[in-house]
Amino acid sequence: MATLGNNRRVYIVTGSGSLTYTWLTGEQTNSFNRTGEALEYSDKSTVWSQFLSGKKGATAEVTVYADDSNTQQKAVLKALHDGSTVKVFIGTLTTGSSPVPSEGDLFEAIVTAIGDTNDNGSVATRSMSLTATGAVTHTPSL
Amino acid sequence: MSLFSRIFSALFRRAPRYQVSAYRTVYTALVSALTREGVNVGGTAGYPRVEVNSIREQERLDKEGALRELTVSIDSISDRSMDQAMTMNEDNLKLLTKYELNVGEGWKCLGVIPTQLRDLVETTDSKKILYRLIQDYSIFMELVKTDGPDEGSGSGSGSGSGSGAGA
Repeated sequence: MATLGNNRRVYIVTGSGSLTYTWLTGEQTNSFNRTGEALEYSDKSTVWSQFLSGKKGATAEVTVYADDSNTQQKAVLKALHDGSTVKVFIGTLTTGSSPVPSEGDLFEAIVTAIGDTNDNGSVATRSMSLTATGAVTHTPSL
Repeated sequence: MSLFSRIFSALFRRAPRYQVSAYRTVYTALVSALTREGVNVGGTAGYPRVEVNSIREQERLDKEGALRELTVSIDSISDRSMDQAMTMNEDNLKLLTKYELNVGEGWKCLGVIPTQLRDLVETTDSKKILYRLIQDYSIFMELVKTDGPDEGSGSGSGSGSGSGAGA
Protein backbone atom coordinates (compact mmCIF):
# COMPACT_ATOMS: atom_id res chain seq x y z
CA MET A 1 0.00 0.00 0.00
CA ALA A 2 1.23 3.48 -0.77
CA THR A 3 2.56 5.59 2.09
CA LEU A 4 2.56 9.34 2.57
CA GLY A 5 5.98 10.94 2.85
CA ASN A 6 4.74 12.61 6.03
CA ASN A 7 4.77 9.26 7.77
CA ARG A 8 8.30 8.23 6.83
CA ARG A 9 10.45 10.24 9.16
CA VAL A 10 14.01 10.45 10.41
CA TYR A 11 14.57 9.30 13.97
CA ILE A 12 17.75 9.59 16.00
CA VAL A 13 18.27 6.30 17.79
CA THR A 14 19.85 6.12 21.21
CA GLY A 15 20.47 3.41 23.75
CA SER A 16 21.73 -0.13 23.37
CA GLY A 17 19.57 -3.21 23.63
CA SER A 18 16.37 -1.26 24.24
CA LEU A 19 16.50 1.47 21.63
CA THR A 20 14.82 4.85 21.80
CA TYR A 21 13.61 6.45 18.58
CA THR A 22 13.24 10.21 18.75
CA TRP A 23 11.95 12.16 15.79
CA LEU A 24 14.31 14.74 14.33
CA THR A 25 12.11 17.66 15.30
CA GLY A 26 11.16 20.12 12.57
CA GLU A 27 11.75 17.66 9.76
CA GLN A 28 10.53 18.93 6.43
CA THR A 29 11.82 16.35 3.95
CA ASN A 30 14.13 13.38 3.79
CA SER A 31 15.55 11.17 1.11
CA PHE A 32 17.27 7.82 1.46
CA ASN A 33 19.43 6.37 -1.28
CA ARG A 34 20.69 2.79 -1.36
CA THR A 35 23.61 1.98 -3.60
CA GLY A 36 25.35 -1.17 -4.78
CA GLU A 37 28.60 -1.26 -6.72
CA ALA A 38 28.79 -3.10 -10.01
CA LEU A 39 32.03 -5.06 -10.47
CA GLU A 40 32.60 -5.83 -14.12
CA TYR A 41 34.07 -9.16 -15.13
CA SER A 42 33.30 -9.08 -18.84
CA ASP A 43 35.41 -11.07 -21.25
CA LYS A 44 35.44 -11.75 -24.98
CA SER A 45 33.18 -14.79 -24.74
CA THR A 46 30.14 -12.52 -25.12
CA VAL A 47 29.47 -9.01 -26.40
CA TRP A 48 27.42 -8.25 -23.33
CA SER A 49 28.91 -6.68 -20.20
CA GLN A 50 28.80 -8.82 -17.11
CA PHE A 51 28.82 -7.69 -13.50
CA LEU A 52 29.07 -8.99 -9.97
CA SER A 53 27.33 -7.27 -7.13
CA GLY A 54 29.92 -5.35 -5.05
CA LYS A 55 29.90 -3.20 -1.93
CA LYS A 56 26.60 -1.85 -0.81
CA GLY A 57 25.99 1.48 0.88
CA ALA A 58 23.47 4.17 1.61
CA THR A 59 23.25 7.92 1.95
CA ALA A 60 20.51 10.08 3.39
CA GLU A 61 19.57 13.73 3.13
CA VAL A 62 17.27 15.39 5.61
CA THR A 63 16.03 18.97 5.78
CA VAL A 64 14.74 20.36 9.04
CA TYR A 65 13.71 23.74 10.37
CA ALA A 66 16.79 24.84 12.29
CA ASP A 67 16.37 24.65 16.05
CA ASP A 68 19.54 24.95 18.08
CA SER A 69 17.73 24.04 21.28
CA ASN A 70 16.67 20.67 19.89
CA THR A 71 18.58 17.70 21.32
CA GLN A 72 18.44 15.60 18.15
CA GLN A 73 19.66 18.37 15.86
CA LYS A 74 22.45 19.11 18.32
CA ALA A 75 23.44 15.44 18.32
CA VAL A 76 23.89 15.51 14.55
CA LEU A 77 25.86 18.78 14.72
CA LYS A 78 28.07 17.31 17.43
CA ALA A 79 28.69 14.18 15.37
CA LEU A 80 29.97 16.35 12.50
CA HIS A 81 32.22 18.38 14.79
CA ASP A 82 33.55 15.33 16.65
CA GLY A 83 33.80 13.05 13.63
CA SER A 84 31.64 10.52 15.43
CA THR A 85 28.64 8.55 14.19
CA VAL A 86 24.91 8.81 14.81
CA LYS A 87 22.43 5.97 14.72
CA VAL A 88 19.50 6.78 12.50
CA PHE A 89 16.22 5.16 11.55
CA ILE A 90 14.27 6.33 8.50
CA GLY A 91 10.76 5.01 8.14
CA THR A 92 7.64 4.45 10.16
CA LEU A 93 7.21 3.32 13.75
CA THR A 94 4.45 1.31 15.28
CA THR A 95 1.89 3.27 17.26
CA GLY A 96 1.60 2.88 21.00
CA SER A 97 3.59 3.85 24.03
CA SER A 98 6.73 1.94 23.01
CA PRO A 99 7.01 2.31 19.25
CA VAL A 100 9.39 0.10 17.31
CA PRO A 101 10.18 0.14 13.58
CA SER A 102 7.35 -1.12 11.41
CA GLU A 103 8.93 -0.29 8.07
CA GLY A 104 12.22 1.40 7.22
CA ASP A 105 15.99 1.29 7.55
CA LEU A 106 18.26 1.45 10.58
CA PHE A 107 21.91 2.37 10.19
CA GLU A 108 24.92 4.01 11.77
CA ALA A 109 26.09 7.06 9.83
CA ILE A 110 28.79 9.66 9.61
CA VAL A 111 27.70 13.22 8.96
CA THR A 112 29.22 14.57 5.76
CA ALA A 113 27.55 17.97 5.51
CA ILE A 114 25.24 20.34 7.37
CA GLY A 115 24.06 23.43 5.56
CA ASP A 116 21.91 26.19 7.01
CA THR A 117 19.71 28.34 4.77
CA ASN A 118 18.55 31.65 6.18
CA ASP A 119 16.25 33.24 3.61
CA ASN A 120 14.56 36.58 4.08
CA GLY A 121 10.95 36.02 5.14
CA SER A 122 11.29 32.29 5.77
CA VAL A 123 11.95 29.98 8.66
CA ALA A 124 15.66 29.04 8.73
CA THR A 125 16.27 25.53 7.44
CA ARG A 126 19.10 23.06 7.93
CA SER A 127 19.98 20.26 5.52
CA MET A 128 22.04 17.34 6.74
CA SER A 129 23.87 14.73 4.67
CA LEU A 130 24.53 11.30 6.16
CA THR A 131 26.54 8.37 4.83
CA ALA A 132 25.90 4.95 6.29
CA THR A 133 28.87 3.14 7.75
CA GLY A 134 28.39 -0.59 8.07
CA ALA A 135 25.28 -2.59 7.44
CA VAL A 136 21.85 -1.14 6.85
CA THR A 137 19.08 -3.12 8.54
CA HIS A 138 15.76 -3.14 6.78
CA THR A 139 12.47 -3.68 8.62
CA PRO A 140 10.57 -5.90 7.98
CA SER A 141 13.49 -8.23 7.36
CA LEU A 142 14.04 -9.12 3.72
CA MET B 1 -5.39 0.21 31.74
CA SER B 2 -8.77 -0.15 33.42
CA LEU B 3 -12.04 0.00 31.53
CA PHE B 4 -12.86 3.28 33.28
CA SER B 5 -9.50 4.78 32.25
CA ARG B 6 -10.07 3.73 28.66
CA ILE B 7 -13.52 5.28 28.52
CA PHE B 8 -12.25 8.46 30.22
CA SER B 9 -9.30 8.86 27.87
CA ALA B 10 -11.50 8.18 24.84
CA LEU B 11 -14.00 10.83 25.92
CA PHE B 12 -11.50 13.52 26.86
CA ARG B 13 -8.74 12.79 24.40
CA ARG B 14 -7.09 15.93 23.09
CA ALA B 15 -7.07 16.59 19.38
CA PRO B 16 -3.70 15.69 17.87
CA ARG B 17 -1.45 18.73 17.75
CA TYR B 18 -1.21 18.75 13.99
CA GLN B 19 -4.99 19.10 13.67
CA VAL B 20 -5.15 22.31 15.65
CA SER B 21 -5.55 25.47 13.58
CA ALA B 22 -3.59 28.61 14.40
CA TYR B 23 -6.37 30.81 13.02
CA ARG B 24 -8.23 31.60 16.24
CA THR B 25 -5.02 32.27 18.18
CA VAL B 26 -3.65 34.62 15.55
CA TYR B 27 -6.92 36.50 15.05
CA THR B 28 -7.37 37.07 18.79
CA ALA B 29 -3.75 38.15 19.24
CA LEU B 30 -3.94 40.53 16.27
CA VAL B 31 -7.05 42.28 17.52
CA SER B 32 -5.52 42.56 20.98
CA ALA B 33 -2.20 43.91 19.65
CA LEU B 34 -3.80 46.48 17.34
CA THR B 35 -6.28 47.87 19.87
CA ARG B 36 -5.45 51.47 20.93
CA GLU B 37 -7.09 54.80 21.72
CA GLY B 38 -8.87 56.64 18.94
CA VAL B 39 -9.08 53.76 16.46
CA ASN B 40 -11.91 51.26 16.08
CA VAL B 41 -10.48 47.76 15.83
CA GLY B 42 -11.98 44.39 15.05
CA GLY B 43 -15.06 45.27 13.06
CA THR B 44 -16.42 47.99 15.35
CA ALA B 45 -18.45 50.53 13.38
CA GLY B 46 -17.08 54.02 12.70
CA TYR B 47 -13.89 55.57 11.40
CA PRO B 48 -10.94 55.61 11.61
CA ARG B 49 -10.93 51.85 11.65
CA VAL B 50 -8.46 48.97 11.51
CA GLU B 51 -9.73 45.61 10.36
CA VAL B 52 -8.16 42.21 10.13
CA ASN B 53 -9.19 41.84 6.51
CA SER B 54 -8.20 38.22 5.95
CA ILE B 55 -6.15 35.43 7.46
CA ARG B 56 -4.95 32.57 5.32
CA GLU B 57 -3.28 29.65 7.04
CA GLN B 58 -0.81 28.06 4.66
CA GLU B 59 0.14 24.42 4.47
CA ARG B 60 1.96 23.11 7.53
CA LEU B 61 5.70 23.57 7.22
CA ASP B 62 7.02 20.47 8.95
CA LYS B 63 5.90 16.85 9.11
CA GLU B 64 4.42 17.15 12.58
CA GLY B 65 2.51 20.31 11.73
CA ALA B 66 4.07 22.33 14.53
CA LEU B 67 5.29 25.14 12.29
CA ARG B 68 2.74 27.31 10.51
CA GLU B 69 2.83 30.23 8.17
CA LEU B 70 -0.17 32.55 8.01
CA THR B 71 -0.70 35.32 5.50
CA VAL B 72 -2.63 38.18 7.02
CA SER B 73 -4.10 41.36 5.50
CA ILE B 74 -4.77 44.31 7.78
CA ASP B 75 -6.89 47.16 6.50
CA SER B 76 -6.42 50.73 7.76
CA ILE B 77 -9.53 52.70 6.81
CA SER B 78 -10.01 56.46 7.12
CA ASP B 79 -12.96 58.62 6.08
CA ARG B 80 -10.76 61.74 6.23
CA SER B 81 -7.55 61.28 4.27
CA MET B 82 -5.01 58.83 2.97
CA ASP B 83 -2.54 60.49 5.34
CA GLN B 84 -4.59 59.30 8.31
CA ALA B 85 -4.72 55.79 6.84
CA MET B 86 -0.93 55.85 6.41
CA THR B 87 -0.44 56.93 10.03
CA MET B 88 -2.67 54.08 11.22
CA ASN B 89 -0.78 51.62 9.06
CA GLU B 90 2.57 52.81 10.43
CA ASP B 91 1.24 52.42 13.97
CA ASN B 92 0.08 48.89 13.09
CA LEU B 93 3.56 48.05 11.81
CA LYS B 94 5.16 49.30 15.01
CA LEU B 95 2.69 47.45 17.23
CA LEU B 96 3.04 44.15 15.39
CA THR B 97 6.72 44.07 14.48
CA LYS B 98 8.11 45.71 17.61
CA TYR B 99 6.24 43.63 20.12
CA GLU B 100 5.41 40.71 17.84
CA LEU B 101 2.31 38.88 18.95
CA ASN B 102 1.56 37.99 22.52
CA VAL B 103 -0.20 34.78 21.59
CA GLY B 104 -0.58 33.19 24.99
CA GLU B 105 -0.46 29.53 25.87
CA GLY B 106 0.11 26.77 23.39
CA TRP B 107 1.76 28.86 20.68
CA LYS B 108 4.89 30.86 20.11
CA CYS B 109 5.12 33.58 17.47
CA LEU B 110 8.42 33.29 15.59
CA GLY B 111 7.99 36.57 13.76
CA VAL B 112 5.76 39.04 11.97
CA ILE B 113 7.08 40.11 8.57
CA PRO B 114 5.42 42.91 6.57
CA THR B 115 5.20 42.01 2.89
CA GLN B 116 2.98 43.82 0.37
CA LEU B 117 1.15 47.12 0.73
CA ARG B 118 -1.59 48.49 -1.51
CA ASP B 119 -4.01 51.40 -1.40
CA LEU B 120 -7.66 51.74 -2.31
CA VAL B 121 -9.98 54.74 -2.48
CA GLU B 122 -13.67 53.93 -2.63
CA THR B 123 -17.04 55.62 -2.30
CA THR B 124 -19.70 54.11 -0.07
CA ASP B 125 -23.43 53.98 -0.86
CA SER B 126 -23.84 57.09 1.30
CA LYS B 127 -21.28 58.92 -0.91
CA LYS B 128 -18.63 58.87 1.78
CA ILE B 129 -15.07 58.53 0.46
CA LEU B 130 -12.96 55.92 2.24
CA TYR B 131 -9.16 55.86 2.10
CA ARG B 132 -7.77 52.41 2.66
CA LEU B 133 -4.30 50.98 3.02
CA ILE B 134 -4.06 47.21 3.02
CA GLN B 135 -0.86 45.80 4.48
CA ASP B 136 -0.02 42.10 4.14
CA TYR B 137 2.05 40.22 6.68
CA SER B 138 3.58 36.78 6.95
CA ILE B 139 3.25 35.44 10.47
CA PHE B 140 5.18 32.37 11.58
CA MET B 141 3.80 30.35 14.48
CA GLU B 142 5.10 27.33 16.36
CA LEU B 143 3.15 24.98 18.59
CA VAL B 144 4.78 24.91 22.00
CA LYS B 145 5.81 21.46 23.15
CA THR B 146 3.61 19.94 25.79
CA ASP B 147 4.27 17.02 28.09
CA GLY B 148 3.30 13.58 26.97
CA PRO B 149 3.41 11.86 23.63
CA ASP B 150 1.55 13.32 20.69
CA GLU B 151 -0.30 11.41 18.11
CA GLY B 152 1.66 11.44 14.95
CA SER B 153 4.97 12.45 16.53
CA GLY B 154 6.22 8.90 16.71
CA SER B 155 8.89 9.32 19.35
CA GLY B 156 9.26 6.90 22.17
CA SER B 157 11.27 3.99 23.35
CA GLY B 158 11.16 0.40 22.40
CA SER B 159 13.34 -2.54 21.69
CA GLY B 160 14.72 -3.17 18.27
CA SER B 161 17.73 -4.69 16.63
CA GLY B 162 20.62 -2.28 16.95
CA SER B 163 23.25 -4.06 14.94
CA GLY B 164 21.47 -6.15 12.42
CA ALA B 165 23.00 -8.32 9.80
CA GLY B 166 23.86 -6.69 6.55
CA ALA B 167 22.10 -7.34 3.35
